[in-house]
Amino acid sequence: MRRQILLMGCFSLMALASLPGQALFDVEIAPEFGAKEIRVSPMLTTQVIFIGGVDMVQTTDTYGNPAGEAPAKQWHDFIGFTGDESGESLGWVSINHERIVQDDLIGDGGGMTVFKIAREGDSIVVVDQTLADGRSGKYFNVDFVNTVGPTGMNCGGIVSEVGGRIWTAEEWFRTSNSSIDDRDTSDFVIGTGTVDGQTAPVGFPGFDGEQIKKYQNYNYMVEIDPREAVALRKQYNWGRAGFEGGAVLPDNKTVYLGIDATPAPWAKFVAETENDFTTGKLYVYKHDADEKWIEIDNTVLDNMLNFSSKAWEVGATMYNRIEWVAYDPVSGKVYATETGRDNPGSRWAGELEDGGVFAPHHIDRASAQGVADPAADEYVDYYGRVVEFDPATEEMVSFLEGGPDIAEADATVCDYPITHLSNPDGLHIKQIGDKSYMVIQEDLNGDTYGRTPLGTYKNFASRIRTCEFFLLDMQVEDPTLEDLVRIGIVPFGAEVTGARFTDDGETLLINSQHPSDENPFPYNNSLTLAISGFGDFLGGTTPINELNPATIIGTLNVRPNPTADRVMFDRKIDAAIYDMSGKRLQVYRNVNEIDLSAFTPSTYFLRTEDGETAKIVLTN
Amino acid sequence: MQKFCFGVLTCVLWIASSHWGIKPIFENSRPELVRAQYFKKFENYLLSVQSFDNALDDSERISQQKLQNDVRDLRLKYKAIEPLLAYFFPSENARYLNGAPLPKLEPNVPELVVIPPGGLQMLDELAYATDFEKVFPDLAEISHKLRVQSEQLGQVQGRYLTFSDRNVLEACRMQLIRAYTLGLTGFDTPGSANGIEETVATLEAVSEILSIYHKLAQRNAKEPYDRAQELIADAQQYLLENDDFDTLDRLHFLKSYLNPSYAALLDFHLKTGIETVFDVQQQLQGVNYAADNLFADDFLSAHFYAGLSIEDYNAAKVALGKMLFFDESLSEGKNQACASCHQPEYGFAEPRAKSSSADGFSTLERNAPTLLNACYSTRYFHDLRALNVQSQMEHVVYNEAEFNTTFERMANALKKKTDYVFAFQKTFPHLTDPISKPTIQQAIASYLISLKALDSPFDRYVRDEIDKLDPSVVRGYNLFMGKAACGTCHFAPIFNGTVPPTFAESESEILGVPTTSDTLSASLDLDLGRYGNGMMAEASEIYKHSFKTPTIRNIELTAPYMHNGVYETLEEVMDFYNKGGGIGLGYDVPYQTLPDAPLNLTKDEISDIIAFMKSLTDRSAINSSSP
Repeated sequence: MRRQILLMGCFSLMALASLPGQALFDVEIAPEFGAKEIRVSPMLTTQVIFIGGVDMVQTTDTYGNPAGEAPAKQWHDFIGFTGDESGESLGWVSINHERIVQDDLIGDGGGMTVFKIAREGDSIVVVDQTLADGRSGKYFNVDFVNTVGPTGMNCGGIVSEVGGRIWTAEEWFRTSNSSIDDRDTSDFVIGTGTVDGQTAPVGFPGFDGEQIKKYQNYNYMVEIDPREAVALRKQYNWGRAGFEGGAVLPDNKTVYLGIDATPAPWAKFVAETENDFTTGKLYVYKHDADEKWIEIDNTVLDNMLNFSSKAWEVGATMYNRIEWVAYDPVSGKVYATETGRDNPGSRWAGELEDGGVFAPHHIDRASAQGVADPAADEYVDYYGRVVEFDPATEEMVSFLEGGPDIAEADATVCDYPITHLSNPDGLHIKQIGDKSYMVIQEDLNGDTYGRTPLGTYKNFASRIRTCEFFLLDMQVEDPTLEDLVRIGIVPFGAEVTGARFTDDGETLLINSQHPSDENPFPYNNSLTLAISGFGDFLGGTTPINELNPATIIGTLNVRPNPTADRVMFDRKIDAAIYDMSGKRLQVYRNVNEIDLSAFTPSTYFLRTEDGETAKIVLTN
Repeated sequence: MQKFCFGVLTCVLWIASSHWGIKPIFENSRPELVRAQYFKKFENYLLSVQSFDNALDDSERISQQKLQNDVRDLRLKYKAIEPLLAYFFPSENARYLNGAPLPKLEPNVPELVVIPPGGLQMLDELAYATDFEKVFPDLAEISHKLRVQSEQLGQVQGRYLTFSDRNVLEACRMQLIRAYTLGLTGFDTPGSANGIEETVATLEAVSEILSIYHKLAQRNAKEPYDRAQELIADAQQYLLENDDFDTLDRLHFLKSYLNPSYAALLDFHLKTGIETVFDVQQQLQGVNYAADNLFADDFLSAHFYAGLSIEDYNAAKVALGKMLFFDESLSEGKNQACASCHQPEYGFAEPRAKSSSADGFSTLERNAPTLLNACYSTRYFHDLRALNVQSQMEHVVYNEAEFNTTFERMANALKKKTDYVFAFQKTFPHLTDPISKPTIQQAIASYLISLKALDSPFDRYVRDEIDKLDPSVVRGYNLFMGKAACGTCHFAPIFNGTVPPTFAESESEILGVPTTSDTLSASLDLDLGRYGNGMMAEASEIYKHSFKTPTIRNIELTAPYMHNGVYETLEEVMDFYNKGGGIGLGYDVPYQTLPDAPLNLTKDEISDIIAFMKSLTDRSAINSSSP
């Protein structure tokens, strides 16, 4: 029997030697684009450090319920990081919850959770704390309800370049009391609380005593103290809008603000004195004016409540959903994600009439698409972009366009690009020495028009939204999509957001938000993850593209091997995995990565369509 | 990197290929040929869209008759590309090309934006509008948008459309299900009801795609290939000879053509050695690709919907789930079990219009739905507020008017009962603390999976397990799936709102249900339904009074009917639909999704439909439910 097999093996060998290409294997798309768990570069390690709905947060006295603990809210979005200058720990982490829900213990609306982390060996640990208000534990609910009034849809935010001050942003512009899920919808008096008696004594100079509708107390930038888990103030003097992101510059006076709306103005606040943001002037950007920053009088409450309308009255420049804002200390420039919207035309036609003007890059895009202007029904903005604002020249330009755009592609078949950037949302820049790096995170608006690859099927034909996050070396001049290095993807259904490096640049904190409930625990909950191992790559000697071997051209190179879960290749291959007995277990098409974590630890054979083979050792 | 010894590996591979009958095949790539064929047809479609749109721009107003013909031709061109287009571009197809003619919400934007309906179904509806002059501007706008979107899709697929043999065969099988459930029922031809001619066209497209596999089939899949092609040709012939929408015998078509060709294609796929979905992904799907009949009891994967893998499901868990299901001591007042409202003898529903509250005096807001086949759904509760079975349980457990407790309290109580301690230990032997929220939920989910009721007389007849069915049932099914248009919302085979052919989404509808069955004094039930389900992203006008489409299986047992239990009898229910729902009763229901025109069903026809519905009763899960 043995001899017979060997003999036949020889025939097979001859057949294989003449393989002109494996016709049964045609192109299909990588399972790497669909995972039930977090997937990051194998050169990095990942830890789950905060699980929504599972980890318990310490609460304050709320709605007559005594202080205690409650399961954390879900929908983790922004991550604030405030370094610990004492060196005892790494620092304090602040997590947004992008929700509007009632909660008896945590408080209505969305909110935040804060905790303190330290590095122990190669691991990140959450350390115990006792706060000034007597609460002790690991995770703490930020008390908004008893201070500034509840917050809602806490999405992005700001980490100041100076001292790590933290603001949380309230997105999803509320327009009526029926659009908030609040137990108390009586009118709200700034500095006092609701007329029905829910006290919120933290007011704001100049606005205390003003009575507004309850929903009008949402949609601000709200500062918190991450060390004590309390809210400090709602920033009424920065206006009321669907804020998403912002940046406080090193001068500790200038603040840039991003608003998630179509259209969105680009806004700036300049404080009178350093480190005091309660007084100062508020401006909106108008690219086609001589004085590009036009002041909106922020001492008038009505101006603040209707901030965007005031912006269009003075002819501000219109953008298509500005999300996160990040400052690059190396170049001194400010970057923002403009996430895009499929058919924005009708969304900003009205504001155009009110006086708003289109950003030049939208006019150029419309013209390239052969449509009259960005207000036309036919105008599309599927992929979004990162924009760059230079404070020196006061010019706002497109920095990195999402895509590749279908209109740019020639009409031939090509592989799904490894770096297809769609709907950038989260944005972070980290300086290491004299270099800086940008982390771009996706939140897909849909799966259409090439935003997700064909073949990532959840149910035969329904494509899976998998959001990716990328690293960009900011030293690269005029970067293109080719320069993006994919760090990883988040589980099915999740948006990746919140990316922020610890001060030492070794660990990236990131959130996996609203994943599919079909993922295994804990990946069915919103998660905060610590991804470590960047120290060798950022500012170091190893080029960052080694984080993703698929971007390095070479012969078939299977690594890591042995592996605990995945192997990656230096190019895309079609392959099948066989067990030791020769049984075909799984077929993969057009992949540069294979996930073996579902297999039991053993030795497997891999065979490519060209007959190349490799033995893969899967360890525990 | 380690390279394995080449010679030894080839032995291994030889064994592998002989074992599966796989041999390397080096002919011109079939997917390339399929792709070229598809692009040619797409080009025809695109030219048709463009000339259609140009014709509407002409200053001379086109006649309604001419327009109807043009829409018909355009839709037939679309049907030729539908098998691959709808498979590869499901989102683009649903949103822009051939989605239901209803408003939708723009996904993933920080506000609620209603997208007006467009695409080919809308063109079909408007081309037959009685106020044609009035709707013409809308029609022109929809045509223009369709043109723009079709042109863009052409660009996209030029760049991205690459695929494998597996995709092609999956797309063909999926098209058979789509054609039967959405085409022949008239679902996607709301104006013309031209479903039969369109089905002939799309079967032709499937046959032409398959013909590219003719050569491959000669190796060892000739028999199933020939069988599939012959069945598809016969199916087309049958439809051409029986082309009256109202009288077509859809049951005969199902048994003689649809199911046999669906089975033959599976047989063909397996015999070619081309990998199946099971070779390339581990996660379950709604449709079980290995099933060979639309009415097979494993056509849909209950495990997919219940979020429980096949490995995690066993008899011990079902038995434990059953214990919990009937145990009143789990609720805070020790007076409510799952079975209090989901009573087996009433088809796991209950005879009261609205369920009793925990206080014993008041009632809950709505009627308890049946749990038989309930798990074949992606959303739970009449208002669709729960996204999965586990969260459904949480709503009941935490609700003050229902169990009014927590899983922690429940677990603590169970730990004091030796029979439960024993049962949980036996069921979850690897856990040190087996009584917990996840294990309770897993046990109840397992019981829910077991409440499958897909073995009714009707199912058995479709599967050729019995050879006689009352003629009124046959007539009733054909009305249900045709003239009476029931099957365009209560989709086969579960006859609920889980949408074919992927069965990946549960739908809700606005019917305009009244508060009382007394038609003279009744008024619209003001229950907000989906609008008020607590999801910020669904609090839109288009979901006001919208309720989940329930299964009609076992409906004989589950009176009273509708979300509020307003109707005691099926005759009353049928009368409501026959009159055109809430609008037909004279209410103001701005977003009613049920067509408001009377169905004009005769008394005999209604009694046939009821006979069909009663043939869907399967008591086996009920009979085995006694403790």
